[in-house]
Amino acid sequence: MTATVKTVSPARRLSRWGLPAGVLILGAVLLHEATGLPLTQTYAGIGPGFFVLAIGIVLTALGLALGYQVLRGTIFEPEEAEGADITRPMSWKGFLTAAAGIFLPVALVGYAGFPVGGAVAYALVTRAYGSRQLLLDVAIGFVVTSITWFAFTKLGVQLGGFFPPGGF
Amino acid sequence: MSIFDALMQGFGVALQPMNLLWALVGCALGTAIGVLPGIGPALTITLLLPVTVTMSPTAAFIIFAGVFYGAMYGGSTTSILINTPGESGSMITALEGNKMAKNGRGAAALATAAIGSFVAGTIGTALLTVAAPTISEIAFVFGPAEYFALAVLAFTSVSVVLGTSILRGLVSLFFGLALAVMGTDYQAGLPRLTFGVPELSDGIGITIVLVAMFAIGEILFVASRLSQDPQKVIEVNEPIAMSREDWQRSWKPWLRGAALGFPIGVMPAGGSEIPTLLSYTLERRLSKSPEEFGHGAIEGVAGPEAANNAAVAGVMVPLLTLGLPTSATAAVMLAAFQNYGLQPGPTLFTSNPELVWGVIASLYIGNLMLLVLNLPMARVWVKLLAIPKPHLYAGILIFSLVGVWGISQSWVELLALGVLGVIGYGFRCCSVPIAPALIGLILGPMAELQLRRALAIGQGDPSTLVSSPISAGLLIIAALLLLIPLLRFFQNRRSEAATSPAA
Repeated sequence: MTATVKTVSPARRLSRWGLPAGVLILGAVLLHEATGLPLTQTYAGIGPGFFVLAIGIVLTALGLALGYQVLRGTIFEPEEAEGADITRPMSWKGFLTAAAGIFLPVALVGYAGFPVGGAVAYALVTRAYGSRQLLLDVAIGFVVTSITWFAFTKLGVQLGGFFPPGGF
Repeated sequence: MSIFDALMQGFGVALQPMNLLWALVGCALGTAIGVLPGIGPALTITLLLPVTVTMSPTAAFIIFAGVFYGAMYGGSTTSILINTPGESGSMITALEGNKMAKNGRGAAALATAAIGSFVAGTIGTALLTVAAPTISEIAFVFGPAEYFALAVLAFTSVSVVLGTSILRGLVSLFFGLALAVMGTDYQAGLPRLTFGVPELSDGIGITIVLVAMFAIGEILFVASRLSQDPQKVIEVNEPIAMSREDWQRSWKPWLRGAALGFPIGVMPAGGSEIPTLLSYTLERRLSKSPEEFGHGAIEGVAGPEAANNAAVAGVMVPLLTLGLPTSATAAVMLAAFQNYGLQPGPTLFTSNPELVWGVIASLYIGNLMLLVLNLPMARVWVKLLAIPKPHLYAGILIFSLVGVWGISQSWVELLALGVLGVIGYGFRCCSVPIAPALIGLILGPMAELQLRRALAIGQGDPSTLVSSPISAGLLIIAALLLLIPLLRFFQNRRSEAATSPAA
C-alpha cells in the first residue's frame, strides 16, 4: 500500500482531497447561512433555518467521513462513460477547451446574440473533441445555431435577438 | 367508474391523431437518444420542457412517456451491436448481447431484446393500469407526516441503492437538498443561500441543474478523457428475427424478467439496475447450460431486457400515485408536472383523469410503436452513430444552451450552468452518483413543507411524525436501509482486524 502511494505525484495525491474538501466547504457555507436564519417559529415548530442547519451538519459529517476514507487510502475512481477512456490520465487541454466553450457564451450570448455565441461554443467543443477544422466548425456551428434559433423562436421559445449588435 | 372504463376513455384521448403523432415523436426521439451516447431520457425531457410549455400537458406527457420507454429500446440496440450501454439498465444486456452479436447471433439478440421489451413493457403497463388507481386510493389517507416519511424513504433508498458507495450517494443527496433550500423561504419570506444575488431569490431552476449535471458534466468529462479507440459496430445482415428454438428459450425469461422488474420498479429507488442484475442471476441459475452465460446466452439478453422495461412501467406507479420519483427521469417528469401546476398524487386521478389515463393508454400504444420502430429498423438507428463525436457533443451543448437561455435570457443562469457543470464533472471524476442529487433537489421542498405542516398540526411535538403506523413504518424502513450497510461495515472491519492484527 505505502509503495503505491509513494509513486503517485504530489498533485494527484492532493487531488484525492478534492471531494472531502468540497463537501466540507459546502457544509461550512450552509452552517454559516443557518446562523443568520431563525431556527424556530412560534407555532410551526421549525423555522427557515432548521433545514439549512440540518443539511449543513450532515454535509460536514459526510466531508469528515470522506476525509477519513482518503486517509485510509480510498481512491475515488472516475465513473465509466460512453466514449471516455477512464484509464487515461485527464487531459487538461481537452477539459479547458470544452470549458471555454461552456463559459464563453455566458458573456457572448447576451452581447452578440444566440447564433454567434452558440457558434463559438460549438467550434470550441468540436476542437476539444479532436476536430482540427476550425473555420469549418465555426461555419457548421453557425448554421446549426441559426436553424436552432429560428426553429425554437417559431415554437415560442424566447431566445433574444438574432444579432443584437447589428440591430436584428 | 371502473378501471376498464377509465382506460377506454384514456384510449379515446391517446388515439386522437395529434396525440398519436406526439407518441410517435416521443418514441422516435427516445430511441434516437437511447442509441446516441452522452444524452439520456432525463436530459432529453429536461431540454423538451421549454418547448412543451406551449402544448397541453397531455400531449407533453405522451411525448415524455415515449422518450422514457424509447430510450430503453435504443439503449439495448447499442449494447448489443457496439457494447456501449446507453442506459444503466442496459449494462447486463451489453454483457451477453454483445457476445451473441460477435458470434454472429446479433439478429436473434436484437429480436429477443425488442420483443422481450414489448412483452414486458405491456405486462408492466397492464400492472400499472391495475395498481395505480388502487394505490392512489390508499394514498388518500396520507397526511403531511406520511408524505414526509415517504420523502425520507425515497432519499435514503436512492442514496443507498444507486452508485458505488453509500457515503457518496449521501453526498449527492445532500448536495441536491442544499440546492433545494436556495431561494426565498415560502413561510417566512427570508432569503436563503442567495448570497445577495437577485436572480437566485426564486431558487435555482431545476432545468439548469439537470442540464448542467447531465449534459455539461458529461461534455467536460468525455473531453478530458477522450477515448482514442474507434467504435466498432457489429454488422447484422440477416433479417432481425428469432428461430423456433430462440423463442422457446426466450419466453420464460421474458415473463420472469417482467415479474422481477415491475415490483422492484415500483419500490422507492428500485430503478432498473437491480432487477436486470437479479434477472440475469436468476436466468443463469435456472439455465440447463449455465456455461453458455458470458459467451452469448440468449436468456441473458431476454430476461434483463424484459426486467428493464417492466421496471420502467413500475417507476410510473409511485410517480403518478404519490408524486414520488424513484429515478432521475421520473424526477424530471415530476418537475414537468409541477411546471404545469399539477401535483401528481391521488387527487390527480380524479382532477385530471383524461391526462392520467391518456398517458397510461399512450404507454400501450407507444410500446407497440417501439416494437415496429425497432424490430425492422434497428440498423437504421445505428446509423445515427455515424454522426462525428465532435459535432454530437457540440450539438448537445447548443441544445443545453437553448434549454437554459430560453428560460429567462439571463447570463447569471448561464454562469450557474457552467459552474454546476464543473461540479457535475467532479461528481463523475469521483463516481458520485447524480440521481440522488436530483431527487433531493426535486423532493427537498416537498419534504420541508410536509415536515413543517406535520409539526404545525402536532403543535411542534416531533412524536407526531411517527404517530401513524404508515409514517412510522416508512421511517423505520428508511432507517434500516441506512443502518444495515453501516452495521455490516463495522462487522467487516472487526473481522478484518481479527484476521490481520498487524494491519
